[in-house]
Amino acid sequence: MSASSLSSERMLKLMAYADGELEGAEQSEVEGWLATDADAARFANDLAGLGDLVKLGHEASSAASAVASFDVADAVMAAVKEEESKTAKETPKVAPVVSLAERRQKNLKVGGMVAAALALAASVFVMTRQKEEAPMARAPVPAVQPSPNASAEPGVDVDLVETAGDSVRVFYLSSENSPTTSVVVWVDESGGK
Amino acid sequence: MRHAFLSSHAVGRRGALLGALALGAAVIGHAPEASADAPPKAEVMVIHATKCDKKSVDPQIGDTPPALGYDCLKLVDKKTLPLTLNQASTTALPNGRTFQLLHTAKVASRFKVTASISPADGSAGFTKLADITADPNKPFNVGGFSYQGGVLVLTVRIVP
Repeated sequence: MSASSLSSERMLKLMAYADGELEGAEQSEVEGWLATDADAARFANDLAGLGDLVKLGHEASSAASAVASFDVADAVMAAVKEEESKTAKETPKVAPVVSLAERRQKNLKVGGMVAAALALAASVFVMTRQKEEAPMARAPVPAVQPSPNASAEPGVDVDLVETAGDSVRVFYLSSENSPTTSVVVWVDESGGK
Repeated sequence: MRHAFLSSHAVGRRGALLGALALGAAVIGHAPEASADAPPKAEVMVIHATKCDKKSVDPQIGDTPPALGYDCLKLVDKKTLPLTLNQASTTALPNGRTFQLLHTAKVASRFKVTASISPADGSAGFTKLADITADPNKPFNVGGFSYQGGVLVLTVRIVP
């Protein structure tokens, strides 16, 4: 029985067997054919020899193809991938890149805020201190307010004597026909002599 | 050359003017005061102030003292009291009382005096009213002493 006498189905299974692709019942079936069918056995041997030849040829050609298939682009890509993987691993350890201009602007903003805060604090301090010191600047209130037309410097100062009693008072008044202030020590003797 | 001459000429005139001013100031500053050694005195105008319907001020009074509710002012007397340091100077008033000034000090051309009045009941002694420090020729008034339905107002001016 020649190979041509074999059915295509049996040839495919034999080819699969030769390639080691069969298992179980199909493998047993094919092995039964090899034991009983000379054509099948011969076909299998042919396939095996072809397989060896192909295998040898494949092995011989694989080394050459390995050299020939060395591609610079692949190597570069592989190197890039490897570098990327290293970078990915090292990224957490590297400080983030920040723009120097942005950092300067940020520093300026922070400095401006600090300066504004200091200025505000200084103004509050000054205003508070002025309010506290304001009463000290008040002039003593005279016994009688001078007339608006009167001079601020009458040229006369009066200190009442304590023994004079409550009936004696001092008035700073404007004269009727003089722009200056007149000082009057007035003794209230209403009802007296 | 002309510019330099004008500049020096202007400086010369200016210097002469400044020199004259300085000399004048020196002469004035070192001129002895006419009344430096004479004791000061107090010119006292005794004014009778009354309440009236029609305002009237004696023209002899000059600068009208504050009315304090008394519209009619009449000059009753005009006296001069010598102000010897630490010596009381007195003058009798129309209401029978006595007004006293005591010159206690002179500080930087200002005169410090103590004004006192005798008691209204005629008893001896004086009641101190006030310590007054006055510039020369600056008048001050002491008043309120009852007299004939009104009051007496004393206008005092210390004259060096």
